[in-house]
Amino acid sequence: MVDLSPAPVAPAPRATPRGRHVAIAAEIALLIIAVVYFFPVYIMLTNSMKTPAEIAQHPARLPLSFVVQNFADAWQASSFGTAFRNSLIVTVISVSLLVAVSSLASYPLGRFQTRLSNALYVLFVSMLMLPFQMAMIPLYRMVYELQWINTFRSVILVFVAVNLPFSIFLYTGFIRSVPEDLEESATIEGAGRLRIFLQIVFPLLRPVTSSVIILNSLAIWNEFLLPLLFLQRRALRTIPVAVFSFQGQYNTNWAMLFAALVLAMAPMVLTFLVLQKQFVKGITAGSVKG
Amino acid sequence: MKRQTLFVLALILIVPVAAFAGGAGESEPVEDEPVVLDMYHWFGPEMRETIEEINGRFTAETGIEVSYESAPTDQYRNVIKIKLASGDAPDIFGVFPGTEVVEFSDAGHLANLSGQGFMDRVMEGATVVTRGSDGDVYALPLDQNVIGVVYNRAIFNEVGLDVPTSWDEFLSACRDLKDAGYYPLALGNADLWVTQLIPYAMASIIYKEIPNFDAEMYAGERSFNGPEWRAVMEAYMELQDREFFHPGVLSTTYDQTIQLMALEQAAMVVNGNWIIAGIREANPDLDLGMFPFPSVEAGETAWISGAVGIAMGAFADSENLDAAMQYLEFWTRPEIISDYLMAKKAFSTIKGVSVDFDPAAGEIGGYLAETNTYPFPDQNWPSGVQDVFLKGYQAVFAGEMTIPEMLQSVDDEWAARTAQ
Amino acid sequence: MKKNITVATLAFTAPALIVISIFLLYPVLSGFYYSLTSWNGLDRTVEFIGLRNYRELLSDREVSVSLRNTVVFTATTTVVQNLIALVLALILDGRFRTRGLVKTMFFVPVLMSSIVVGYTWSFLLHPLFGLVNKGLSGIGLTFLALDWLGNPRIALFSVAGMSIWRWVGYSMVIYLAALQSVPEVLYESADIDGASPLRKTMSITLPLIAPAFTINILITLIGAMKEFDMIYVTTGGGPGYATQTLAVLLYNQAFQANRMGYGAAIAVVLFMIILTVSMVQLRILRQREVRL
Repeated sequence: MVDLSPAPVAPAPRATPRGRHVAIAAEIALLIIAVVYFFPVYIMLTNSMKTPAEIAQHPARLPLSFVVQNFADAWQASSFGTAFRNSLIVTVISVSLLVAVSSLASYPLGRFQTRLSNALYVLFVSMLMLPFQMAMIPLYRMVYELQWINTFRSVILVFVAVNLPFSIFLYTGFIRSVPEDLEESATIEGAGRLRIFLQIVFPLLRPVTSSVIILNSLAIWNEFLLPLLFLQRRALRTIPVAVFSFQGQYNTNWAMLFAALVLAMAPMVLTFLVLQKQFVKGITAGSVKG
Repeated sequence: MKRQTLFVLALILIVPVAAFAGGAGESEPVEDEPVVLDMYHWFGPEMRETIEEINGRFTAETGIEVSYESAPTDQYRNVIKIKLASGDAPDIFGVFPGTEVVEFSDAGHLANLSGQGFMDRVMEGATVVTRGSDGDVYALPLDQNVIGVVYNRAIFNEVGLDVPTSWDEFLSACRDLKDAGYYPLALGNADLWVTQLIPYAMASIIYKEIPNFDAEMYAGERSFNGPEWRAVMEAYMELQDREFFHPGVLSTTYDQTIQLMALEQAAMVVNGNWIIAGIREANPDLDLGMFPFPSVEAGETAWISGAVGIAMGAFADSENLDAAMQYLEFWTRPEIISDYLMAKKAFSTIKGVSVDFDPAAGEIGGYLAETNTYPFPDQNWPSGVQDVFLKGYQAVFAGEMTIPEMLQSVDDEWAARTAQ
Repeated sequence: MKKNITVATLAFTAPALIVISIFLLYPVLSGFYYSLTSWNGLDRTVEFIGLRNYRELLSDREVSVSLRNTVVFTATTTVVQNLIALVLALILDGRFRTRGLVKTMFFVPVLMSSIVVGYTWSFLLHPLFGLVNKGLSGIGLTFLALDWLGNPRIALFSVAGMSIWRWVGYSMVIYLAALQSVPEVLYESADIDGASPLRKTMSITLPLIAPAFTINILITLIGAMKEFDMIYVTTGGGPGYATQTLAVLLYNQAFQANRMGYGAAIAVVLFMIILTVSMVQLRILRQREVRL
């Protein structure tokens, strides 16, 4: 496992010998807690490598034979390659749009203390609290009338709309904490607002941008209902929809379903392990300074 | 910094263009193309191959293509409503037998099948639950399932039990199994839909005496909170009070009942014939059988709760209605429906067709020939009533409601729903 | 200058406004309209019935039960999740060799889908097969081996526990980053004054990470009030009505019982509740931040 956790910001105070023993004991205790905490993940991983009969009989044991076949079957049955491509297209485009649209919108909201900008901010943020089920039928009707069923743009635009409020919330909070000095000097030099934003402000937003990218990727990658509604054709299915198609009317092959779920999760976990440092910074930057 | 600026500009400019350009024209109809029927159903993944094979044969014969999509049952239930409400109806789609056929046909979504010649091939009894409020048939029933007791023959032999044929025999069999260290019955009441199966299997008590119980409910002459349903509920709770189920039935799922059977910890489970396939997958070595739930006095024959599991209808305003009718006709042919039933592991709805899909199901199939069946009661109830019933079973098991309170809450819902 | 700012504000927010208006605001307002109708979700015609759904809602016992469950579920997850996450973050902020590993182990559940979490936990908590009760009995705590999801008095807390298990890593990471941004100098001067570790935590650390509290509590509050997947996958709202929250009820009414209009009315009420609670919470915590 690649450990890229950030180094402590400053050296901790020098520990006394007694303090060190306590620290080691605390560390061991926490490790034990972490292992217990992690146990359900272990169950999921091991059960994805068992036959259905083995899951029934020895759910907690290590798999006897590591049935890699489950993964092969799951890959085959869900056309995982195609689904992966679809998920990637939808996620990348949606997240890119989200970054562009929400950072732009947040700039005046975070910078100007006018009545208009405050009102817009409240409007955007209150959208955060909507129970989405309420919008489902009118949304479908609209997408259908646009003849956008079975097109990527339908899910992408809805994803952008649904995730904009939280992204704007993060960006605006962060922008408020960025000092204005640089922009002011640029204004004096006569640069236009858009140029100031693109050349000076946006680069400063890097931590919160990664936060927006990561959180939205996670949400969009795992979303089930929207792609189920709008991408009905098999060739357009995203990973969660493809995976859930294993659920039978009565009997579900859990071995294969678990294998598929592990496959579905794998890209996110790998991304997390590789980018752990940026990941954690990104999640926190926008929030903490909000 | 420069590069990032360019990146952002690129995003703002290129991405929307790409998003809108991609996939344009995908759904434009082109003239001279063969007719394509859109078909949407909740068939499970294990059926895909069979359905596509049947569709292939249909195309080979008629030149009409079928584009088949499916979704898991729960999601299907939502998506089909959203599609119909939005005017995006498939030409052919699955309908849940019973109340939903009535509601869908009342809303004008289902084509009337009553005049169609192929309906003569369908068993009369099977269409009871695919009729609209006007009495005409609006969906083609494709298969039937029965609720009964699936049991482990080896355990029965070990304990020295015969198949019980009366309620008293059933109770004494349960006691013997319990004494021998087995859980007599597995019950997965964490899954709402499972909670109703034992009452349905028992409702033989009601429908044998009062075949028109549901009609009399609609007429306001009966209530659930009366002697009939109370007797059913009390018998259900007797099984619980005598600890014939395992501990924790309210946190046990359908899948876990399969596990209890597969591990031979439980000797019996009351469920639909579909559970046999699930148990066999978890433990292929078991010797299983299935008999009717014997909720009768000695000497009487129990009726079997059997019902259409899957139905399929055509969209009333489909542009391809003729092709859709041809397609439904195709499904009523013996050679087609047999292949389907073999894969689906279910009983036939077409006259003269019977398939031998599993020896255990064959056992109860033998009884089917000798006795009467009645539909799953809920299939005739107004929508919403079943939900209150299901919640009520759990609440009674949890000790949150008494039997009369629970039945009263169902009566209240019935009144509210029929008043609307 | 003022006009200039107004123009800039509108120009910058225009893309967001357009997308949100079309794909979120309009559908939601239509949803609001349905809450004034008796639409069943199937018919082609929709009957306007004014506020009748809302009146029915006031006397519906299921609604009051679901509201109570929503409150209990939300309060439990918000308090417990933040408490655990904060304690973990405080410990991990010390000198820790295995910090990266531990952090990863706590974070992986965040990446999992509800159905996996739900299925795995139902299986672990089962009174017969479940390893949790086997473990508890094994260490002599047989009295704690309960029917976690089947007992109506505990089920809601068990589901809340699963949700907490899934999201603790998320809150923890936010607290941890806030802790790491507290300047070391402050602790050093406190050391000179001879302050105890507890006192340092109370009077330096906690006030300085107040913004992290605000965001974490807001995220857990909204998430918990809207939580649907986890409950639906594990108990479906049962046993009986024991874990039915407003989000589950609204789904059941709209899509299972075919009462789209009534479901929409519940959605509107849920939205109002979330909005009010979040705004109040934001105001209180922001004021505290300022004062501190």
